[in-house]
Amino acid sequence: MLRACTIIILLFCLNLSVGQAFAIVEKGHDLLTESPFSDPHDSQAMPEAWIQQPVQHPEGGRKSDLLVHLSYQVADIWRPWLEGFARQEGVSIAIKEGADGVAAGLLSRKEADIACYCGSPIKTDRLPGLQFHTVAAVPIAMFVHPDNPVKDLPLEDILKIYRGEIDNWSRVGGEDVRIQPVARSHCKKRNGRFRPLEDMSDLSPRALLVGSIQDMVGFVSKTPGAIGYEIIPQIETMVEEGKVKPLTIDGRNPYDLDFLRRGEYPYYRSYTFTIWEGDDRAAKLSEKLIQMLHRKTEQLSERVKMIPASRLKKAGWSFYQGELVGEPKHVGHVH
Amino acid sequence: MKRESEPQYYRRGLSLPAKVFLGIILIGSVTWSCSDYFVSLAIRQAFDQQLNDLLEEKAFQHRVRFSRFVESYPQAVEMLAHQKRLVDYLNTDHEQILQQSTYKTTHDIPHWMGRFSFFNSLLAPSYVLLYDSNGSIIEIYQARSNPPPQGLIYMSPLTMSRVYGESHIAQYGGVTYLLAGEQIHGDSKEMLGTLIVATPMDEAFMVASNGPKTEWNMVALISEEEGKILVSNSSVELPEGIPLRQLRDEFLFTDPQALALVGMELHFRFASFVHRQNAESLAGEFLRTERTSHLAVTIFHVLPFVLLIIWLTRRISRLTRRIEDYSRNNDAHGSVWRPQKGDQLVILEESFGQLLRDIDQRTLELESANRELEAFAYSISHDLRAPLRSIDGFSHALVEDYGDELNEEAQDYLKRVRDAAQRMGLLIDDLLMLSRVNRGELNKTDIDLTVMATEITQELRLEDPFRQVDVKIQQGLGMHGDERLMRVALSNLIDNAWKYTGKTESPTIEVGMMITDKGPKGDVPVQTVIFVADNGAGFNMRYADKLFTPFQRLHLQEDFAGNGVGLATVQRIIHRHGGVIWAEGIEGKGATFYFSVP
Repeated sequence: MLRACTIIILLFCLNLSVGQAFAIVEKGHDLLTESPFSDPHDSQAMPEAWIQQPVQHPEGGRKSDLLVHLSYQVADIWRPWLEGFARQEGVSIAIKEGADGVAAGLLSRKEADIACYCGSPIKTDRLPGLQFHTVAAVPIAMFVHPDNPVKDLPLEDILKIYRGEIDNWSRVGGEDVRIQPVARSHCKKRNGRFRPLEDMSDLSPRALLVGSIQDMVGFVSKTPGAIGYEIIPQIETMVEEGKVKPLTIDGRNPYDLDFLRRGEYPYYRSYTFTIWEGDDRAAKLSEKLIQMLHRKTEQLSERVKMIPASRLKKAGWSFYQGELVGEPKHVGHVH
Repeated sequence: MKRESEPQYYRRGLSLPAKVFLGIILIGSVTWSCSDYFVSLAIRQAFDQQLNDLLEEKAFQHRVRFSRFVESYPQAVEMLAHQKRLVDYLNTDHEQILQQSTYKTTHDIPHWMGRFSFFNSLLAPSYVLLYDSNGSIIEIYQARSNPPPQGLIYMSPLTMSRVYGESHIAQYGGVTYLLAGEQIHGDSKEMLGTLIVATPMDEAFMVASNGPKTEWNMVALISEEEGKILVSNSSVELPEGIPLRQLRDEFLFTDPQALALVGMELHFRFASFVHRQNAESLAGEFLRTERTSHLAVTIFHVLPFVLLIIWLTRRISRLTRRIEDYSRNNDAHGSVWRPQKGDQLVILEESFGQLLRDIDQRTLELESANRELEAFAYSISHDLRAPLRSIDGFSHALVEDYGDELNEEAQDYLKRVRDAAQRMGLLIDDLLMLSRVNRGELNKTDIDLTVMATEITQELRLEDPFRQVDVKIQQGLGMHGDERLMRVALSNLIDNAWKYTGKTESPTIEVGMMITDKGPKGDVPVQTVIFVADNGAGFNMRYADKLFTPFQRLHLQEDFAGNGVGLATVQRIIHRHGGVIWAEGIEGKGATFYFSVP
């Protein structure tokens, strides 16, 4: 409350109206309760000329049969699969890595055949002619320095830590060490259960904002009071080497994929691929590639710590034409 | 033997101290160089590791600073868009703005931004674009002389919606821009327009985000695919378009790390650089300091040893000089001995060898002389016996055949001649015995001294049956030695005791064994000794050292007959066995002779 008042006073001092000031603060809170999925029918209107424009690979990928964008977070897992697919099909695939912004840019310029979002697509991502296929969901683990005695945090306390309302580990059963939350906000505009952690308007002023996964994991491994979050494949090696320690959330272990599969684990990312509608060779290849990703993810689920879409469907998650659009109805996430 | 020429100085090379000093310098230099090489290598590795860690740490700070700058951009734009003066501007002049046929461009900060607004310093905006509620451009503030690219002025609805509320990095006309936008709403929530702020990500941007270029603050964005510099905060040293691989010789840099920031349509990496020259000079300074410290510690540790070695070599030199002098002054052969060219140790070694050779030579000469002397003494003694027997025999014949014709005085003279001849005979016998002691090989066996002493005593009692002497002989006395010679020695000692107790009432002689830490020259390690003690005439301890000298006697011939050869013979026998003998005595109280044989 005190923090909200401070912000309102500050904004007021900055020549803002009281209504506008309240609107900014409220907006932050709205983000915490909104659905992690956008309406799949709410799409972006584009000019006809754009719609008629074919996919044209940019320089560096012009000679490729397909240009595929991979989310950089899981590119190491999927790249070999794509290479195997290319060999099997006798085609060439150019791969571009990057965050969701890169995917959105490539698609809006019609430069990629396939792109991957690490969160649920938003309206501006739903361009005419695009199909969305969620391939997998991956738990996001909260992790701390290995010397930190805390093993479990309630979800509510995690949010309080990131909001700055809890600033010492002694308040959550740890030692008298100041908490240093670390955040990455590369996907904050997209929907997903990670949003409360990345929402800048609600983030503690003391939170350290880093721009890369390596910085997130590296900083936590060197800082006794730090807490961070990443998907399991990104921290697995560091966990095995004892450099960071994953936490359970309300007793739920991120490594136990059943919690997420049942919709009981609060933080995760879903990886949704886009392909263009059509019946040309590229579209058919794209569809085949997505099928391969589904198949491989299902086969190697435990090894790559991903829950394939097929198992999510069986567990009651909602899909709309291949896109994940809802969590199991019997489970409610409280944020 | 007199030398034919004066002794000359021996030829030498470098003296021992000089050699030791040079050796220390040489070995020290080599050792220190090797040690310095390995220590420097280890230090360099540690330094490189630390430098790498430091560079990583700095790079981390640079990335965080850059990310924070980029991420804070839309927040600043959001606050700018919600300024009351901007809302009022769009509300008040709404109709007038809508009637404009073209957009307005200004180079002066518009009043709705606030001339002294902190946004200017926070955002360092190059272009601020104001659009109406339909998305048409109405006003542009350009802080630069160049107008904004057409793609920014006529922004598509899709792009416009994407830049709302987040940092957006995209290219327009080949230039990378950081964009952020915000919708402007009126009091009744109606949309009045859109504000978009755009800044080219050029050198000025990099300086604004990460500060000006310094020794430890050189940063650049790297293209993902080509690995070339997109932009840096120092275009002179890190110019645009140069591949990273071309910078490896000149710069140290961290692995470019992919940044994943909100709304990045371009994927690029971020790297921090340090001039190798700076790192090298730092390493050089570090190593110089470490080397100086290392040298000081080495000298501190080595100097005492150097001084000790010099002190020892000086002592060796002095010893060598003394041996040289001795060798020169005691040259047994009269030839000038000149050692080969060498230092004190060579001279010492050769001098010692020469001395040993001299000693061996002299020993041989002495042994030869001794043998000659013994042979001479034996021969003389033996040859003297015949005329002596003649003197004694003819004197005896003269007394027997013509005794009646000689007067009493003549007979007395003849008796004296005979006594003297007989004493001389005994003396010759003793001398022969003494010479025999030194001749022949020792034939060592286990000897029962108790039996031997008993036999000697019985012989004495037979020779002098009227004497009553209490002789006590300890049982179990024994030793390992030449029985013939030991019998001579023990016989002499018991004979002496028998003789010197001749004038003693209740004479007593004791032959026994004892364990003592006394020796001929004071205290010695504990040893077992045989002793022969008596309570006879004894002797004055002041003359104890004369007891074993041939022909030296401490008593008058009239008191106790003898020729002073017996104890000398005993001493030689004991010495030939490698043992020692000494005596203690008190005048009138008796004497004790001790001997021990190993």
